[in-house]
Amino acid sequence: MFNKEDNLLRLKDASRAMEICNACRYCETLCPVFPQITQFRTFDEATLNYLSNLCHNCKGCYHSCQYAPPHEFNLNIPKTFSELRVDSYIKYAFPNILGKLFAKNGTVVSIIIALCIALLFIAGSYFNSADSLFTAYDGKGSFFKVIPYEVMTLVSALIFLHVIIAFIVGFRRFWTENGDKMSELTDLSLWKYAMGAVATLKHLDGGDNGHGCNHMDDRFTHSRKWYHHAVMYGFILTLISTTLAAIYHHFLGLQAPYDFDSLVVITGALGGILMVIGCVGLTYIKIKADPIPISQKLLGMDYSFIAILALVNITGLLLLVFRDGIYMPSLLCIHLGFVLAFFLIMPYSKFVHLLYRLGALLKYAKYVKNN
Amino acid sequence: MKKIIVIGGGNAALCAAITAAQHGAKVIILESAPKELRGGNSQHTRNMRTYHPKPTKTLVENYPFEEYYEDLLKVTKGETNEELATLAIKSSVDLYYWMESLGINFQPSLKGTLSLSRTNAFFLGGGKTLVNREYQIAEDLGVEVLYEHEVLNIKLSNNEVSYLEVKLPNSNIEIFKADVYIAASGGFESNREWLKEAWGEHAKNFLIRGTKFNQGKVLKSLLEQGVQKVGKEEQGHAVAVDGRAPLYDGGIVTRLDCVPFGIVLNEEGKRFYNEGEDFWPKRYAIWGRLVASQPNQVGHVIIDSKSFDLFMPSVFEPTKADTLEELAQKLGLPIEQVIKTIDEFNGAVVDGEFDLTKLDNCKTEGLDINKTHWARRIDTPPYYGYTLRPGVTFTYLGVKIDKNARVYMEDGKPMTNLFATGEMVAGNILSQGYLAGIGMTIGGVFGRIAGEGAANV
Ligand SMILES: Cc1cc2nc3c(=O)[nH]c(=O)nc-3n(C[C@H](O)[C@H](O)[C@H](O)COP(=O)(O)OP(=O)(O)OC[C@H]3O[C@@H](n4cnc5c(N)ncnc54)[C@H](O)[C@@H]3O)c2cc1C
Ligand code: HEM
Ligand code: SF4
Ligand code: SF4
Repeated sequence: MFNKEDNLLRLKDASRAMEICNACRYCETLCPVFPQITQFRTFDEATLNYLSNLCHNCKGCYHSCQYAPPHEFNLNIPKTFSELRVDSYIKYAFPNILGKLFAKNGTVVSIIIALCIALLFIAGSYFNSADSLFTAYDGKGSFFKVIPYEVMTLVSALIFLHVIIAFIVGFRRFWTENGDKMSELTDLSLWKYAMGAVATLKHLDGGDNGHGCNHMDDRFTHSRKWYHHAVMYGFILTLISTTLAAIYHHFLGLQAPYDFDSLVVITGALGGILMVIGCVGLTYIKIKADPIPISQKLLGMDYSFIAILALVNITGLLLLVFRDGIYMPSLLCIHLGFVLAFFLIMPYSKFVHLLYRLGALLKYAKYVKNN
Repeated sequence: MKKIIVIGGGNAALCAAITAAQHGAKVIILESAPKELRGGNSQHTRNMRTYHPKPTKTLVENYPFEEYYEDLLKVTKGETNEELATLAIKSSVDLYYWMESLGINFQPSLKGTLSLSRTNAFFLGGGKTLVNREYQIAEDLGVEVLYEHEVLNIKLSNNEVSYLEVKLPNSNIEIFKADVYIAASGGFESNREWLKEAWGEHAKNFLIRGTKFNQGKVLKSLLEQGVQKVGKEEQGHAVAVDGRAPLYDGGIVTRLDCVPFGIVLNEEGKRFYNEGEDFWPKRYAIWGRLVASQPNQVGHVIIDSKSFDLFMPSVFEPTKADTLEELAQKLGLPIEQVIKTIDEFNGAVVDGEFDLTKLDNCKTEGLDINKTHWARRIDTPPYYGYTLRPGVTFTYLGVKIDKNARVYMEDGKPMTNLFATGEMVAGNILSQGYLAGIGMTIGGVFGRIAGEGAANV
């Protein structure tokens, strides 16, 4: 499905599309891709990888296109770019061999999740006694009675290290592919533009008029942007929550679980709820959307990414609600299982869109600065 | 409630339908295309020429009425209906703000079209996005849209429409009736038989730049029943496009900008016109006619590698060869004649300072047909060849209307229940020539007038 030959065909198709757009330019202010392509006459792989990651998949240029199917030119840029993006994820993945996981994502995700949960159960029962799994605990430090603190920390640290290394290598491969130098990243003005575009997802606004994008059909809406905000800011809140918990634990000597009115629980719960809302919304849009500009091949990967995000948060919220009962130990195992699975597959899941989109926005910031 | 049928599904029809619905009428649109191909030629457009006394969100400076009117007189050589032209121009600014108020988005002029940033309002995403939005507004107002409903005949008795004969998606024919009718079904440019009648047998080799659905059936039906015609059958807009463009709907991207950088040969391997007469945007329209009068209606542009990067890339790949003989052979041209023509041309080139941005002094001397600017020897391989064919944009023949968009009979009487707008009435204002962006203005302005008039009959 994602082999070299298909990739070459897609590159050819994308380059043909970009040449047609360059002769047309009607979509010039829909998104950054179109002003950017006026700088090129021909489109090599590095350029197309950059452009496909710059694309926010808003589908504006599909619904605007006089050459969209059934026209014989058959331009379907959102679809072509979605597939090209995944080709590029595979190419940049570190270690390369694991890049293949992208193609099989749906199944791999469930297997890994299952494995992780099983491992946790086993670890839990091994380090303590088997009946610790169905006991009601209360009081500080109860989580660590199920899974020892050292195990939790060691496993998390290893996975975290792996994610960081894989991200740095992947980003570097993307950034330098079209000849850009790592040293250019010290230019703070590029970051200012890119972070602004990330924080507001302004490129999903459909141009200067700000009427939004064509997520479902030819109507402009902001819905996908808002659901994404819920997911992204929810994610940030949960990261804050985790960081705070680490600080409480290491520096203040406070043990989990924390009180309902503590910052850790408030940020965590709010983030979790936001992410669940966002995931439900994004799924709804996907189901309802006009199927033609969507790559059917990638739906498995898209859904499994949304699903695991949602499950991490749903299990987290359940744990919060039931943490004083006898289900706590099993819920804790399940929740941590999903969290670990999420981070394990992170460098080989759609999560990397963040990395390369950020990179593409930084590259685009360079273009804006020079023009 | 008044029932109105609008015939056609482009910008003109939609402006009429929306306005009529805003005035409380029950409106039905009959569009001959299926939904995916709706929107006629309007979906290929990019902008609308708009008079404006002060800058708008996307239009810079101002474009005074007098200047717009002067520009129109220049292209039509003074032949226009002053009353209708004045009305169209004056109302164009209201049309712009009306569209904006409906959530139709504009964008600044596109890269490479700076010369239009003051005069023409560009649709964000082009005409297809415009038309999509217009359909949404119409549907929100309760307008019923029937796709794949082609009006074959519009039956008149005296000066009134009695009914329509409509071909349904299943090919059955059904009668449709309403209180009032608005005709907005475009010109006849997609009807090859009619084009042949009007423009001669060679029209069989023309490419149609827009929709295949503008067959002119309503127009023909009206003219056959004594409706007054405006404009001449043989008037229309045609340009030179890439010969490999699709038969229909090639739209904007099939233009080829390489002519001034090389020479153009006909099927006999001979040059037939001065390729460097003026800047290409000013000349591409006459090349449609020039190519149309060559054998088999085809021209071949030949350039060498010196010029390859100087113009907008073409959508289709050029024919490429390392020798001129090979190129001629690949293009199917008589090799000896091609070599002879190029040798003569190369021999006649007078060296000058090549400059794209002005009418430079690179020219030929002593040829029957000289190239007066940008002439350079064709001598640096690889060589490239592009094929040119005439591409028809639209036709001007239409029906006579007054300032209320009411259609007139040959005997001078207005029709009681028929209005018309769009390409069908453009001939009232454009007798000849073309002013970029005025087609959408005419359709929109008279569409709104027709819609309001029809609702208040
Ligand atoms: C490639 C191209 C680019 C252009 N660019 C511009 C531009 O930038 N600016 C500009 O002002 N003008 C431009 N024009 C001209 C412009 O397209 C026309 O002036 C304008 O679209 C006319 O609008 P209309 O609604 O009358 O016709 P159309 O948009 O062509 O609509 C006619 C409609 O009638 C339907 N129809 C036809 N026959 C029947 C029937 N028998 N029954 C039912 N329905 C029928 C068709 O399906 C179609 O939907 C361009 C034209 C082309 C081809
Ligand atoms: C640099 C920061 C980010 C940018 C620029 C960004 C941008 C985007 C864009 C443009 C899309 C839609 C296009 C597509 O389907 O590929 C998308 C999808 C998505 N993003 Fe992000 N994102 C960022 C960070 C995040 C984060 C931190 C999360 C949460 C973990 C997240 C979760 C999602 C999800 C779940 C989707 C899937 C939506 C779907 O498939 O319909 N994103 N992102
Ligand atoms: S997507 Fe279609 S309409 Fe938009 S610039 Fe490209 S070719 Fe033109
Ligand atoms: S889908 Fe949207 S973001 Fe992607 S290229 Fe098209 S207009 Fe740009």
